[in-house]
Amino acid sequence: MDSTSAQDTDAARLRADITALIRAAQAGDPAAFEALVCQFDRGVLQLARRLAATEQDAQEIYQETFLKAYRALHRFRFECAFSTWLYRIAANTNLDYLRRRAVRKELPASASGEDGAAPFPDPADRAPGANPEQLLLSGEIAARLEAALAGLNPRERLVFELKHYEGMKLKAIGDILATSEETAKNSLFRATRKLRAALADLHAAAPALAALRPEPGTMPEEV
Amino acid sequence: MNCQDAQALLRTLSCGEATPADRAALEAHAAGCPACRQRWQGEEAWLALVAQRRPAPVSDAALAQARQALHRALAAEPAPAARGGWRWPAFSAGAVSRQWAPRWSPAWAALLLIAGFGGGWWAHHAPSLTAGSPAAAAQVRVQTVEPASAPGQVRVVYDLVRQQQISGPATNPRLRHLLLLAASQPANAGMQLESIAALRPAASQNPVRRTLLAALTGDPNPGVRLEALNALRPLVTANAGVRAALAQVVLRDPNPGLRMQAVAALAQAPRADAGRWLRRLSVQSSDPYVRLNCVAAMQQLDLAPPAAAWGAFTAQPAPASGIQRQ
Ligand SMILES: [Zn+2]
Repeated sequence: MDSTSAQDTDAARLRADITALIRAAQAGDPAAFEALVCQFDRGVLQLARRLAATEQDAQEIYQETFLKAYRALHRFRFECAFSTWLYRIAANTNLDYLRRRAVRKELPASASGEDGAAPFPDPADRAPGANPEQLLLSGEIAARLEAALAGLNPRERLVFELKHYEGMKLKAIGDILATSEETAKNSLFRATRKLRAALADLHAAAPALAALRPEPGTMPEEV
Repeated sequence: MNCQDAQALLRTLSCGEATPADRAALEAHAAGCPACRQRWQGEEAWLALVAQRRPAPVSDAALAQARQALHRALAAEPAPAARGGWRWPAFSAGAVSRQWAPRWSPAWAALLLIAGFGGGWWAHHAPSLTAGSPAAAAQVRVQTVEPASAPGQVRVVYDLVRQQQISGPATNPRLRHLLLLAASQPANAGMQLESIAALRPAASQNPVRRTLLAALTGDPNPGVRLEALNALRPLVTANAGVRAALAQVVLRDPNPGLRMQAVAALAQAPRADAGRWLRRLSVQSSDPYVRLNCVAAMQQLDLAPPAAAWGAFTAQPAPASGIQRQ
């Protein structure tokens, strides 16, 4: 199909643009660094918002990620895709954040009190066209799921987010975490096992959930 | 396939990496195996549960806020190790200072402007305020912008240390400066619209054009972006940067009306330039109406659309995304 080759050309052009931007930023052009930021930062912020407890935390993770990238840019040697390099930094920054929080959670004083900033709005509030009953159902499930996710260890949490909510392949997740696809897969399975155990009651008591997806026999060919 | 194979496939399914062939194989096995059929339903229920969590998408406002904070943080950074060619100029948000010489690399302009660095961009490229000390200039806040009684004149009320006002044509450098400041304040869309309207006659001047381009590609308010587009329209024939920015609007603006306006504006470029952009956009855009409009505009210009454009009406190119997925 012609559009495929056009997409290939676009992808090649984008890669060439990114390469030129990296070189210019490495040579000290601040506009080039900002342009690079603009190419990737929505995804970085999105990931941070999924993992962070508050919008403010997400903004801090975003900033720390790009400051680290800025300081380390002269060491980028084009040995992997820039996006992989950048997401590696983002992943580590998120992991650091989750680890700091895990430590803080063990202290009784800060166990319940958040930093004063409002948590994210309940995503169910925004689900368009959902009926109230379903809204209630998904709101409750989302809250339970959120709590269960918070119980995972940082690495499992990150892998689960990258897989199920960023839609990344296990191979790419392995690259980002500087590990193998197999190791990423094991982390994902551990996370899944823990989550399913934590949500077993919901899972068993909500046959309605299965109805949210089509029956196996009529499954559309996409996931 | 036996039950063990089926369970391996179910694990792949729960990783979200099952292929259509995997599904077909599962289906064939599950048809005759109630146990595996039940396990499959369990997996699907689990995936449905996981899908219940849908965090709100990143808003343009949140992204703009993050970028501005980042810009401030970068300003405080020392020059990168072993480079030392430049330093980020220091600045505080929304403030104007004389010390920043406009610095602009045209090659990156289009890319940078795609998303716009909002206030950060503005401060970074702001021309100096002519009156007052830098310390006083740092306190400038524009309060109102409105047409003055004389035709072609505008009145701006602003705070320096105390409230002041100034009237005159937009070509007056000091007034122009205040208008540029007001045009870049997303907190007050009404004032932005007034300022952009007042700046129209000066659109071809470099700092004005840059501010308009930043508004066109980065302002969160579609009304402001449209006003900027209209102010830039006369420059389409002469300015390649404007054409590139319009192309970015066609590809990235979330507002379908603006995308169409940008196609129409590009069609007014000199025929060769218009042809080049329309040809590219007719294939690259993920919006079928945009692609259709590009082809129609090309036909009006007696230009042949690329064969791929026709195919593209049925095949949907992947939308541009921040994350590169493998
Ligand atoms: Zn079986």
